Amino acid sequence: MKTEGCPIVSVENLYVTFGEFHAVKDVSFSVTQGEIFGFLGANGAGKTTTIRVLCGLLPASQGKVEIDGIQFTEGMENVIKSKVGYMSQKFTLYDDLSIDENLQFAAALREIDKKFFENRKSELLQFIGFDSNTSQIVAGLPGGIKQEIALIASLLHDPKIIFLDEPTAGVSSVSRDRFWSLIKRLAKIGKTIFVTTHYMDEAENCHRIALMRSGELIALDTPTNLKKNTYKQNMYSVTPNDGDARKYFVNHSKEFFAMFAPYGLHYHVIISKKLDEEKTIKNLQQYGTIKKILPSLEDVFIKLVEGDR
Amino acid sequence: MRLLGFLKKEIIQTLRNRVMLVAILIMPLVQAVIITIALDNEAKNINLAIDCKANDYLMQKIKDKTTASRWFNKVESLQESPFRAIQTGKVDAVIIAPEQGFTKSVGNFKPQIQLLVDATNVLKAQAIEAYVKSIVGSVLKECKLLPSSVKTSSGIEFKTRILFNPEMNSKHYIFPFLIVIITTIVLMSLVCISIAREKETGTIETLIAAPIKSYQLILGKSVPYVVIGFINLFTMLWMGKIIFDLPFRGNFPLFVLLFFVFAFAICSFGVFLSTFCQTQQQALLGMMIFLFLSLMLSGGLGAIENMPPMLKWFVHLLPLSHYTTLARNMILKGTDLQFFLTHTGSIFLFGCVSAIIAFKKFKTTL
Repeated sequence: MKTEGCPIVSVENLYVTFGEFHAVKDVSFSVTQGEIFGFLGANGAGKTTTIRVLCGLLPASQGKVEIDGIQFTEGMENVIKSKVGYMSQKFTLYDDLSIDENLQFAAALREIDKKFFENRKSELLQFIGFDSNTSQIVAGLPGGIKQEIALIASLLHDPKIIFLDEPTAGVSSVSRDRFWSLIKRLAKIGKTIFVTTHYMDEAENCHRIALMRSGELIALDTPTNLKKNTYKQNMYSVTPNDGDARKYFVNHSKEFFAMFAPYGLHYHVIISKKLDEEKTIKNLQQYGTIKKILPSLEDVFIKLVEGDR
Repeated sequence: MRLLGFLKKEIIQTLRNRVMLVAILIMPLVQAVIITIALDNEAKNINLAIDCKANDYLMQKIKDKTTASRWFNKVESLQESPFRAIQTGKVDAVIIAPEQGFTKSVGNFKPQIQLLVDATNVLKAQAIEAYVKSIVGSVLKECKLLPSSVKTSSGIEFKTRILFNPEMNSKHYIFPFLIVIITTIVLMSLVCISIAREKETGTIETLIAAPIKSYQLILGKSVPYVVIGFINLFTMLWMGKIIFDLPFRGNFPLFVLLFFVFAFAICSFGVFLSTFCQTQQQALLGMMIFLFLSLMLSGGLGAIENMPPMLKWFVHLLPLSHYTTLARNMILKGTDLQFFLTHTGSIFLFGCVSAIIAFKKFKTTL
């Protein structure tokens, strides 16, 4: 975890209102350089809206936003835009242009010097390990490659802060892993990265996670702390021995457990407060393997985002 | 540099799609020629019947003369009741001589003749009436049978001089209108749809995430298509000259200026429309509504002067009606500076208003 000096992004009491609708309510946080900052939340929780404000795409209705020492006020959009890189949910490449043409266009939009562009381009292509023909038309490329090209298109102007809005939606898991290793490398060289995602395993890679629910920030911590602090009681993973045992657990779930959630082939459980924890576990061990675990991020997410409803 | 990069990208995208390129550069020419040939509203191929006695000298003369003219397909003597012949659609018109014969009635100084016309097609019926009148008149004149007291049907002899389109060539009337329609459709659809496409595919996010100014985006989206529209205009005028012998009597530089003012107005309106649309389909639908109304009311199909006052007022707001009037005038008649300024000014005003609204809306909807 990086904790270098002053924050590069700071948000204080941010509100974004569309008419009657409060998309973002009283959100405050700050991010330091080199941090991978994850935004989690259900659809419509206000993640994308927050990011759009930070990218200078949307004005804040209220509150203070500071990015790399620049206070965000009316008319400063373009200054903010030149400091940050933004990659949206959809791969923002033109399908009917080649990789080269797409990158050239992205460079032209940001008025990048030609020489700088050529160097930067080969540097970035090397960074993603792309060594085939750059005059290929984008439409024919596999999803994973498209996504990496879209990433370097948003890095051409060498921004300090990069916003990735669901960058891995709809690509294969191999491509996702590759993409995350790129993100980590970017963070290592001092880039600050904001990322929203729906995948909990991806969120584990973040240094800190902000959880949003209906426009509010409901939790903000490191993944480890979130796991430790969200549940007061111990959590166990239960792996039933066979089908009958599985049936037994399901049928008696209300009796033994305060929480009983399917998790792949296992169950994540919390023993009911009324029972003696050790005894119950010993008792149940005849039906399956029971291990004490740290809650997964998914458990945390369910508890925080959906559990309190 | 930003704008140049934008233009480069739009041009590459347009040129890369060969089908699209043919559709916007070649098809308009083909369409304009086909439509002009097909939509000939001169009444031709008229089937005429004549109901008279065989010894009616003047009626035979009329029959010969109609047969000789290029308007009538066949001229025959009537076999059945005239009304029935028209009702069954065998003939379009019947000329009926009076009981005692047309020759006799002229001799008695009470020339009478009846014409039955099928007016299911009003324009055609009017044309037939005019043709028959002129033929009967000329027959009487030739035979010097027309007494000085009885002149042609109306009693007044017109000395008509038809100006600017002396052969009344309807092709010269239709073709300029098609030039107007096609340049409008090409311009507006390309601008409006190309913006909607950016939204639909999500690429607009890249554009707005870059520090680009709204006017650069709008210009980048419009300029390439104005160039295409201009190429269309030019090739169509040239085609019109080659195939239909279409004259160009106006001031060409002013005509080009008119085109650019019109292109500005239409592009602005296209951008304005695109701010309401998230998909290309919506853009297409919105455009259809505007274009269909403008095309129908622009004066290409019916005279604006004949519309009710409220509608006339509305039509004068549409840039297309001014463009149609002016383009037709400049091609066929020549350029009257005041006339030019009035209409171009109206178009410019429309353009400015929609540009301002489009600009404001464009900023807030992104």
